[in-house]
Amino acid sequence: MHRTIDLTSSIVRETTSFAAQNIYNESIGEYYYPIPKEWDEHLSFIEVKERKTEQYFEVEKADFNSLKWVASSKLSDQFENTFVMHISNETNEIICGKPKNFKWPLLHTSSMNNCSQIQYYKISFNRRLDPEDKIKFTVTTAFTHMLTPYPKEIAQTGRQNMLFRGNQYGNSAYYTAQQKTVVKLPSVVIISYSQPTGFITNNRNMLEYGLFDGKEPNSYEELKIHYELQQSILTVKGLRRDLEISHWGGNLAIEEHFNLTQEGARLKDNFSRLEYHKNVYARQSSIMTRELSLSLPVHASNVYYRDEIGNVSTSHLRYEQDKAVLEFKPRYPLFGGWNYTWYYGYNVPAGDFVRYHSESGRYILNIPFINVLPRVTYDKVQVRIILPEGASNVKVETPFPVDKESHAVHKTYLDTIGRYLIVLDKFNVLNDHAKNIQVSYTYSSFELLRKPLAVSTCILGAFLLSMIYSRMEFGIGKSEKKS
Amino acid sequence: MVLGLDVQNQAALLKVVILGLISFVAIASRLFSIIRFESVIHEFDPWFNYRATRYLVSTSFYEFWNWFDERSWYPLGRVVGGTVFPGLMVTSATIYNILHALNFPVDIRNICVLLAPAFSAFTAISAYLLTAEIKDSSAGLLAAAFIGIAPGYISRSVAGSYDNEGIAIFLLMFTFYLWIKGLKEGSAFYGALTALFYFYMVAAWGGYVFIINLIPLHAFVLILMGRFSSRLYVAYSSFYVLGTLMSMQIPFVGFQPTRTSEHMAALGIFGILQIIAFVELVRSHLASKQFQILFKSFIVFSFFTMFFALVLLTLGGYIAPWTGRFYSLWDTGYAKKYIPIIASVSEHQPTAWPSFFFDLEMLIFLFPVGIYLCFRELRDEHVFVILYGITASYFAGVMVRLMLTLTPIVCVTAAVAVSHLLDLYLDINNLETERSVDKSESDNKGKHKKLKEGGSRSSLNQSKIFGIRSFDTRATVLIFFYFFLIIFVWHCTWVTSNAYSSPSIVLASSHPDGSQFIIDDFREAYYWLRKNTDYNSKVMSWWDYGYQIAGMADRTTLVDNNTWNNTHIATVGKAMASSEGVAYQIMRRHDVSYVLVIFGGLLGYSGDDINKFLWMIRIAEGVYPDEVKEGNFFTPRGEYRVDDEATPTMRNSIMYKMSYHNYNELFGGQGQDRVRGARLSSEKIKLSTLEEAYTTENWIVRIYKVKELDNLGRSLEQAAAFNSGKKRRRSKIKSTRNSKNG
Repeated sequence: MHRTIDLTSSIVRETTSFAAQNIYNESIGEYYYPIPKEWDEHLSFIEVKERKTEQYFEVEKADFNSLKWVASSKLSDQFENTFVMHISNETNEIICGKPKNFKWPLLHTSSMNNCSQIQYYKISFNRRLDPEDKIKFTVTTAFTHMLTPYPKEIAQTGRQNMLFRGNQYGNSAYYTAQQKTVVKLPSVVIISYSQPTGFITNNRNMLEYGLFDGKEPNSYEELKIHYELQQSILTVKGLRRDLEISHWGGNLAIEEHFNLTQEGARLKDNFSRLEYHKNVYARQSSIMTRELSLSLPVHASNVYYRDEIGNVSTSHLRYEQDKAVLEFKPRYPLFGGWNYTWYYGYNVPAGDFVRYHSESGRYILNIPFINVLPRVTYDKVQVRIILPEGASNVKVETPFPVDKESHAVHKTYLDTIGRYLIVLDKFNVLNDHAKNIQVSYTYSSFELLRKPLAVSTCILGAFLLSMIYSRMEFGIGKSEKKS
Repeated sequence: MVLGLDVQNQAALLKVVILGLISFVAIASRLFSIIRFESVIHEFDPWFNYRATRYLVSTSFYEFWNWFDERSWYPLGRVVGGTVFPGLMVTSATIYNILHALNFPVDIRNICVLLAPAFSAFTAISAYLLTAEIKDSSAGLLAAAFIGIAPGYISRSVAGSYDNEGIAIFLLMFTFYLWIKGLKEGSAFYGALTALFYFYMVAAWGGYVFIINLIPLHAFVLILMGRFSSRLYVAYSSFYVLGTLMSMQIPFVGFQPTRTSEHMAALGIFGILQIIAFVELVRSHLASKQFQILFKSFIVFSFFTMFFALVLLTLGGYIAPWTGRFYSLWDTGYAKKYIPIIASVSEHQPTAWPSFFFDLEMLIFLFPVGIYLCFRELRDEHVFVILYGITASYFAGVMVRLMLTLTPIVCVTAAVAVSHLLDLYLDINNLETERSVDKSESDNKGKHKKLKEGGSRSSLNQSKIFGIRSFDTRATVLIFFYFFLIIFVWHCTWVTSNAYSSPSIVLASSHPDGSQFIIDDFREAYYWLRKNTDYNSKVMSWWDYGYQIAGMADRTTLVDNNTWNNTHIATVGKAMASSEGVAYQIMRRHDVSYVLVIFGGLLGYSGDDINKFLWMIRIAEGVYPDEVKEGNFFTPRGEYRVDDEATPTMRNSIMYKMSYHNYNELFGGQGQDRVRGARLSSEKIKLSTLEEAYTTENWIVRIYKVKELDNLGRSLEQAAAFNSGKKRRRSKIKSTRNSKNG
């Protein structure tokens, strides 16, 4: 097992390569990957692929609480060295591989209670492994909020240090014969780190733990690294994207509302403008955020950038060959613990994202789930897709599971029956999630006439009313003027 | 025949089209600030109106009615429902609700921003109606055009200037139109409509007092002119009774119509009208000339008895005397002496002469002409115009802000004058007779004749050949006049674009290359407060910024632009003017966590707090004469200085310290104040009870955090001295000395 922990940004990325062998006497189709519960809350994605074929395996959360753990000693003498794990579907029993001379239950190093503290992910291989078969695959995970600034407060021009706590050993529910962990750090400035004697090598900004031999399932030894990370830690507490398609205008209007927090080390004393003005060099290397940039589709037009109290004038849009770049400054520089909210929006021709599929007679919207704002993690993302009035037979497909999908009706300008609204919610999102989601729907050309008809009916009604009104007599008695 | 219509219909169509175009121009010329900046609420008061509107939209009308705003005037709070003219907010909330019911999800901010321009179009239409009653519809169109672009009115109704005046001027004009109409026709229906719009006006603006005094004055003058008629009786009675009853429904007005001096004139006239009506009834049965005289003297007598009764009642306390603001209308020095807070507002200053021309351009010359023409006809409605003109021009002279009430009548009278002139010089019948005449002759004779008055057609026909009405002189006059009109339009546009279209929360300057550069420090600071401070923290600042802080930063303020509690404002003024120790106590007592000051020294922004500081001192001195003394802030030579020669009191005041804290260091020694053109003293400014929390990019807004009490129970000055490590020993020695002495 070879594990790499990437600490060069605020996101902790863990890549673990496994070489596993089935030592059970039956063929096996799945593998269970454990993640401690407290880590699991911050897990934003998990991906497994076979190393040779580059094929992705299916991963799903395994709900182990409903399962019964059994000790069945009859299998015990069969296993040696490597793994096996199996859930028999009929009895909901789990049978685990174990090294020789080890006592059941195997999944946990200490007690049964730990069971609830570990979340298992079930990886389904694309084939069943026969006994003694080997497989090589890589598990890639990414976690947010796993780093804490330490010290918690630094001066305006100070350096920011982070503290990372983890496990020296890789996550494994199985006996691991050999393993190694490499930690990649952003710089050579490392204040302190766990040093298990004999198992550590320090190579500039790389720390190497291992090789460890023959570790029990779910072994744990604290890994603590205190190092310098001179970057702003930006977290989007909430992002709401409104995508509104209009077939009338051939337009896709996009508006994104951000609620951003800089979660780096807080400012020790208060902000001093004098120091900010004076130390140009410190300003550049400081962890505060002065400017953000976004790339928009190349055909984006009518770009605006505002916040709750109006337009922010410090934005700049420039067009490049294949994209438009919006560079903007928040109203104030963002130091640790400071918040800022804003929204921006633009129009793009609908044709860039919506295609008509003539065979099925369906329109297909293909659009990234999020628009990449560099170096940022998202706690919650809500995507609201407003389809044109009269769209029906709506189907949504996402490349990854979303936490909530709901459908509703949205009414806006000149609507009679309202538009079809899809709301997708997802927590813990990374820029890696900027993959296309697909919404397909049918839309008859009669619907295009709905608005003009509604408007002309209203105007006709007004004319009719005024005709009736002008022909009526409201005065009491005879009016003298008309005769 | 155009479009198959007869002449009358063509005229009607033309009128509608022209009025539509005028409305369009009126709206369009108010959009400078949106185009140049953005759709944003301007200045100070509009921010409160906007905030109140949002509250109304997000809750219900009854909640708004009972709204107790605990986030302003901390710790007193403000009963908003009972201290606000709700007309404006209700208007926009109604528009908002209607649009949303029709599935038009327009943002409430845009409704608020565009409300004043929309109502200016209505004002133009009501000016048309009013002037059409006075002269004819062509004068009406001119009046509509004038008021559509007159800077005097635009100043308060550009897009984003979401203030009561924006809708009030329309209501004023429309109420007057309905009154004239009601009076002309003697119709109770129009009287009731007048009352209805009067009610709307009461709900919208404190200036309704003008209506409730002007209409009775009109009635009274008509009576004195012997023009009492059943029309007047019907119109006035229905207006007064309904209007008063309805106006009392506004909580802020309440029983004022029966209890305050401002409203007594209307009541008196109502009484007189009843008496006259009764007497008339009697007279219709026994007519004689002596009776007439007796009757007139009786009227005069009863007027004076009522007046004295009113004075006595006032003295006796049954009727509230005039308010301070009202006194300041009669005595311009009054406010300065007794209520500095009223005098401290720039719009309450007496008007400077040039501003009449600035706001009205050529209309101000045509105004007397129009009044003169009204005198020539002098029907009931002309009397009204004359009275309105005279009173409004007096008020406009007293207070800059009342230029607004003068503008409509100036537009009406000027339109009468211009249309009269055009009537004469554009008469087609004349033109045709003229053409038959040899042109050369008229040229020579032109100078012989003096300007002939008016234009009775009989005399016109006799002097076909001679005089100024020959074709080309007429053309000269017309060309000149068109030139004036064009200049007028040009001037109005120029004034609107340059003087009245700045939102004042955003400052604009230009880069050397001419491109616009926006200084957005106010919003930078307010947004910082909004996002990075505790929701319940209290912000102390001078009252000018109260509404903006509440609206943009969404934080609790101590004082704001409502200025209903002079003592509280004086307390803030005292805190700003005192030394740190005194100020700290005041701030602790008021739970202040942040102090906000405006400082223009770096950028040369002259509307900053140091320049307003004298008013703070004056207002504070009014309430705390022992603790704050204006004299201490002036040098022995009587100068107000911030540099080396600044007085110790000035230098110790927290306002001075907060403004210039760290400022010297920015210049690496001695700071240069660009507003006051002064070099500061190079002494370092030390703050021990406050610490800088945020300063905006151009240093315009500086926010300070009030420190918590010291953990060891020392005073914060001592703690600061201890931390700096210098004075520790000395102070110890001092204290031991003191103890020895004691």
